[in-house]
Amino acid sequence: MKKVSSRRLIIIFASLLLVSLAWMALQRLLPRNALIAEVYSDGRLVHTVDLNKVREPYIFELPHNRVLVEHGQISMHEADCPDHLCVKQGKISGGAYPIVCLPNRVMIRITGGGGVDAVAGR
Amino acid sequence: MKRKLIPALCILTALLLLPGCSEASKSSESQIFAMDTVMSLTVYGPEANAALKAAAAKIYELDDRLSATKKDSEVSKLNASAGSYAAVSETLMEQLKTSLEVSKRSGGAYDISIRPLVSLWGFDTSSAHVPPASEIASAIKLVDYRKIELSGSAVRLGEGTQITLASIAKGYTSQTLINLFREMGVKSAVVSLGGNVQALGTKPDGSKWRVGIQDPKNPSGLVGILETADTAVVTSGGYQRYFDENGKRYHHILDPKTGYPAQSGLTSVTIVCPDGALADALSTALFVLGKDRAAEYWRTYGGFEAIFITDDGNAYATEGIKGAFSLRETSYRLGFISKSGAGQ
Repeated sequence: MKKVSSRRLIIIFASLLLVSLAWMALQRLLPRNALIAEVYSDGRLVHTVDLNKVREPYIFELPHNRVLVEHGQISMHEADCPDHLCVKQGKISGGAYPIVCLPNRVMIRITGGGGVDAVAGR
Repeated sequence: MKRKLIPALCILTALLLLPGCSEASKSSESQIFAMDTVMSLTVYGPEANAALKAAAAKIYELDDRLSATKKDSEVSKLNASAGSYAAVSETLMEQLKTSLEVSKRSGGAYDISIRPLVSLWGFDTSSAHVPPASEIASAIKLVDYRKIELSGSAVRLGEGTQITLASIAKGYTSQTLINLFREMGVKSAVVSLGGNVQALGTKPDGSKWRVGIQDPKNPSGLVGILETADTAVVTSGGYQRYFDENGKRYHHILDPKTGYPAQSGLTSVTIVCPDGALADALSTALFVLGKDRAAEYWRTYGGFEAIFITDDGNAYATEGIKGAFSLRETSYRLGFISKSGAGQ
């Protein structure tokens, strides 16, 4: 077996070390810059967007709801449910409180949860 | 020099790569619509996906069994058999026992036989309204937990007695899920069933879960944060479900004694207790009792901690969670309730 030189080994491990360090740095940096919103329909994740990267507002269409996606915020624009609680909740831009349309089983939330793992209260 | 450097680099690299790939810190999540609310489940570890699948099946099973509005549910069948003994499942029996214990201890401030009143107000439909006083007066006569008789695995409801488990079923379900996760080998999980929170263990890194307590005045904000592990955290509040009629607000937590929404000076009660079903029942019971009588309940029976938010803008925590609960919304003043009864 050909002997691998120590120098080569050092280079390999040093570069592995660098890659993992860079990866860790990236993981730490990414969530700070990104504001990830998720739209769930009937428990399925149907849309993910980084709200900080949204330049032009747009509507994400669902069979019974229309979600308004804007720079830094997201809201339920229209819904055909009877109470419209989801529309009345207005725009969210963070925090632990999702927008929920119970009758149509739609949920919009911003990941990260405002520094908490869960919210007691509703 | 080189000889030492290579193994050192090897170990360092391996260590750095480890946490990123560790199965224990990997989480899986699911969102489930059931029991008239949205449920969010987060499970950590290699068993996460299997655990979430089993959890979903369990939730739908319990929803079908415990709903008072689904015609074929076990609860509906029990209501239909009022007047005679009916055999019930262990699932139902456990909740009946917990309910009746809280009813007795609270002197009837908590009562699952409140269903005739709930239906009269329409809180179990999408069209709630203020009923005529005469109808409230006659419905209230049907509300009496002492007419729920348990005998072995059978139950007899008195004539006209109708139960609803709306104030305990979600807590029972979160407890069932946590038990299920534990049996499957899960070490770390948190579930939120429409705001009924229950945690298994700690976070994978050993730190405590941070549970926000919703602000009754501003439901998109938090009154404070509770750091906790291995427990249920359940909040009941008048702000959660209500309707406005003739300029007046009517919330959904009815006082079994008056037949009207409870006016106890509280806007929310949070219970911290290892038993999810008990936490759920207690949050309603103590909301109806009001702060002072609730504090007496806590001193007499214990087994849980509580946070009370009053309508004059104060927050009170029982002394057992002093240090674990911190205010985030600074417009509230925080006081503590001690075992001796001396206020602070």
